[in-house]
Amino acid sequence: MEFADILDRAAHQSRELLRDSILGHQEAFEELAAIWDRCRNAGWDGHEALAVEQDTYRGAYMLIDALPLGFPRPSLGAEPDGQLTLEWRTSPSRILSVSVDPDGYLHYAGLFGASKRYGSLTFFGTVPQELLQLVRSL
Amino acid sequence: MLDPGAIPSVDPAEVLARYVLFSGHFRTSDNSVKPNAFIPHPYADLSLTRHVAATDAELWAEGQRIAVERTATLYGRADVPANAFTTQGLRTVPDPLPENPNHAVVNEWPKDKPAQKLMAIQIASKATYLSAP
Repeated sequence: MEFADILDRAAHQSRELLRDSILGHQEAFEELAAIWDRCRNAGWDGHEALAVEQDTYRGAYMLIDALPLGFPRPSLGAEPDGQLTLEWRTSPSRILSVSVDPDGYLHYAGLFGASKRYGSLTFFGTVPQELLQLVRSL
Repeated sequence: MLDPGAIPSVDPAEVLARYVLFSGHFRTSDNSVKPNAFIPHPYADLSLTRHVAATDAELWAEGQRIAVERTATLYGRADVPANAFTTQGLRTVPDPLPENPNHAVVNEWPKDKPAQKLMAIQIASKATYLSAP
């Protein structure tokens, strides 16, 4: 192995460790897996919810994985339509909820004090800047 | 509970209960309900139970009945004033069932998911979450 490769690998491992310690990726992945395990069958909420599909789980996993260093860790959840959610909340009136659907769309809505924002974004492996700015403005 | 023969319309000041049967629908950090509990999809209506003419024991008994019927655990309930829905442009409609004359539904939800989410967030912000006894 070339010395440059060794340095690259070391740098990558350091980044992974740092990312996990700040963002808590590993914890988030474990929480996500636990939620998916409980929501894989229809009716998981006691109110006839749709099952969470594997593509939805994969999309949520990729979104968490793509969050930048030092980013606040979201609270994870599921919705009755089978979408998985990432939620950031600093108070009842400052909250952003992002739903991941199986087709690669992110549907978001948030309260930012007196103002409201909502819409849909596409996700292809890179977190949309608009979404990062919304979380930072909470 | 209400007299099945004389069901009044839902007053905006009434309180409605949404039973929480999934542990991921409330936050243990501050005992609050998540907006996810108010997303109506895949159905057009959101199911609730009216507080009017019901004792607290009857409200919890109804939640337990639903949980048993659905082989689920009753974690708690989110109490919300009816006007939290109507101020969003939603309709609260009595929908008495043989087993629950206090049953009501909230309808006229937008089909657009982000718009639904925004409404659910605002409704959840006005809800009070109570853990099951």
